[in-house]
Amino acid sequence: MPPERLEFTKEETQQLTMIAAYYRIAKELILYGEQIDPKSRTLAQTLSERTNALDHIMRVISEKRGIRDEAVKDPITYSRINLDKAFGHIYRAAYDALDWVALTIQERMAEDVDSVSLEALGALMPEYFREIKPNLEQIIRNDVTGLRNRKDVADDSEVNLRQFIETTASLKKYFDQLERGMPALHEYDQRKKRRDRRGLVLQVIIGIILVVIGWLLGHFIT
Amino acid sequence: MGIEKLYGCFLKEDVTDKDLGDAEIDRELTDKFAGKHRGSVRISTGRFYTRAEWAERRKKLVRVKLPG
Repeated sequence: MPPERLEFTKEETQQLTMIAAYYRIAKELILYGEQIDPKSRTLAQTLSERTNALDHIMRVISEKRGIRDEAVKDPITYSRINLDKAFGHIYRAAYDALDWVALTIQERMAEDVDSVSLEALGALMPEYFREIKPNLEQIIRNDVTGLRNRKDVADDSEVNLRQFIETTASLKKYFDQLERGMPALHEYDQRKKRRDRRGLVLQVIIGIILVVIGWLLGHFIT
Repeated sequence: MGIEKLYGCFLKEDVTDKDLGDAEIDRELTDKFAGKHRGSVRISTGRFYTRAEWAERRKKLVRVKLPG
């Protein structure tokens, strides 16, 4: 008879804790990605990874509760292998979500910057040229692309994923900074347009007045 | 519980250790079952990237450059 309560070894508890911790991050990234995606889409491939992770966890629980046709010969190894695989699936879900979020942030930032003048950016957000743009380009070219390539050669190290999370978090910081500044940047451009329009009207009026004066002078002199 | 007695009604083999595989979400199929689907609203309304769609979009996004 299986024990009344589910019991986990110290190693299994550590593995499950890691799975839960990374699952939370993957979930947060997926929900954030859906929020910032231009068409509010989700990344379907993460669903498959999450389903497979659940499957491996269920195998461990089924074994521990004796809900299976044949008993496992080496329960400790069986559990360790399945929890490792579950972590691998959550790791890939987080990685795919990170890649999606990082590139979507870059696209959204490019759209934001495209919608305002460089003059407004220079006046209200000089750090865009000094800090944000160079750092962002470096992060995307070196970190996002580099880390992604390392993932493709099956380097399932936790350090690699942690670094990618930190990199994407810094991208989000720049994105938030730009998003906060967008209303003021649009306002700056609108004011400039109004000023330019007023200047143009004034120039036309002055031109008309000068033409009239010229005509009057010409008329009276002759 | 008793539910475990119903296990094995559909397949002869024990599927506990069988891998589910890499499920591909198909746009045509999700459209077809959208009315009956009770899962993710995003999936049933077609708001998702299939693996191929994301790979295509990713290629474009990698080339995006910041203005200025």
